[in-house]
Amino acid sequence: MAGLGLTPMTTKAGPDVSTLAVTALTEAVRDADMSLQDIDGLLINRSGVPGAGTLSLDLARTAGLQDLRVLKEVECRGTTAALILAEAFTMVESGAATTVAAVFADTPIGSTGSAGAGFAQYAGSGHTRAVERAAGLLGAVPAYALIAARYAAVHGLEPEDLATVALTARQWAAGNPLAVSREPLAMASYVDSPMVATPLRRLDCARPVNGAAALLVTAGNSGHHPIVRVVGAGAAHPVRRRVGPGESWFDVEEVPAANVALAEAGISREDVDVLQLYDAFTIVTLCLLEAHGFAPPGGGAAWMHDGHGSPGGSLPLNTGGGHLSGWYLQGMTPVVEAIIQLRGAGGARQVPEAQTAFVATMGGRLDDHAVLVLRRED
Amino acid sequence: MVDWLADDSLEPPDVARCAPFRRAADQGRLVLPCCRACDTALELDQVACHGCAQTDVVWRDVPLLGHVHAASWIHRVAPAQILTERPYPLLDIEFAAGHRLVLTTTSATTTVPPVGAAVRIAFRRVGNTALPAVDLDG
Repeated sequence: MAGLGLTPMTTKAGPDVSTLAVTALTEAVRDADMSLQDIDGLLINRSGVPGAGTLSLDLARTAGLQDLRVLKEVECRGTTAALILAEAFTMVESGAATTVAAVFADTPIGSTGSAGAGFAQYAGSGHTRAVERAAGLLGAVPAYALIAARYAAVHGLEPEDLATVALTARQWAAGNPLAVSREPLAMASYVDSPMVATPLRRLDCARPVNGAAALLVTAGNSGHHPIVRVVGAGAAHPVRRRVGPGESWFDVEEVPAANVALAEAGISREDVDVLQLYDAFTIVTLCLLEAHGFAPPGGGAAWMHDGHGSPGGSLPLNTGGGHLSGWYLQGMTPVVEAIIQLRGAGGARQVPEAQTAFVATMGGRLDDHAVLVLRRED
Repeated sequence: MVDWLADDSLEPPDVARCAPFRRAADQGRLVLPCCRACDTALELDQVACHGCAQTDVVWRDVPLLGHVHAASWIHRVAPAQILTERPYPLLDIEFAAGHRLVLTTTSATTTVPPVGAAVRIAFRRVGNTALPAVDLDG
């Protein structure tokens, strides 16, 4: 991992998606002490949010790149960022390319200042989804509300259980200069937060931003930074169906992705120093803690209440504030924060001696999982 | 007749593969897809069975009864497409053969049954399409 480039994360309309992507890419190149002309591979993670500008293969031309050996757009919903980072490492290791850039940019916030309209259209395709939309299931929040409601019926779920996820994220965000919500959050403020879809309040939901992130992977050069590598990767796609028997909203047993990635890395969960989970909604944090075996089924909330993921806890979680209080750039958010921590560049939120990070991304309605184990090699 | 909840823009498109579902709903019946070979309940869009990999889909009549699998109230409404200004219910209903559909109610309500409760199914109309809905008035 040679370069990391980020734009400011804004909650207001601004530059278009291509301009943001080029800005992040340029910053990644500068961060790596390299040149745009060194890039011979480009992997693009476009946003699926309707109404937003979307990246395309044209980014290669927009960014002034030339003579690429790899140019590819990858799409697997919220897991794409993890998948393309793993693929970038594989390409460099195999010699398919020498310097690969992985780029994501999103502009869900338009001139109205709201991302809601775009996300309300974000509902997938097919007749099942069309029937759901006609019932008023518009966008991601109602779907995750039903996930939370079903989780409550199976495992039990109190408002305090979701609140502890939101409050922990906010604690971490206080130390992240890029986070969009850094002011202290008390339980009373959480309870006052308006209900969006029962049981999810506004503060249970991610903070969409306009922004971009670019990662640069190259052979034998990490610039002036510590070497950070992907040492394990795994994916799982349960292919959920809205039929019984069994649960069709979330995993009640561990998914295999984590064990595959940990085995490849040759480590166990106890060796992980920081945990970065895709937390578009508070309920997702609980589901992913359980799906990846960091908490037992139904035990995610207790894990959070015990403070394991909090500053000073045994396994710091979403140390930049995650999607909830930090910034929501889909799978790039947890990937980027893992790299920052392993570089020791986390400033006020830095986890001491962070050597190994576990990143879990997810897509759709918990339909897709892609996990990475990243390690700092001194 | 205008639906109480959804604007006509939310009418599901007329998909040939799901025509049996649409035709039956228009007659006040609910039919859902199953695998003819192994009887596994399938999703509306499913072409091949995940149980036996056969592609012979049969649409079977389903009793107009179900159970609440999950339920939520939607408080933030989308003004361009949702006609009510009040919170409205979303109910994930499980049918006897295992099918699950996310539905709303036939009319505005302030209460919904809890998870596990039995509910009756009737129909509402969005645009020209009849759609199953939970009937709390019947």
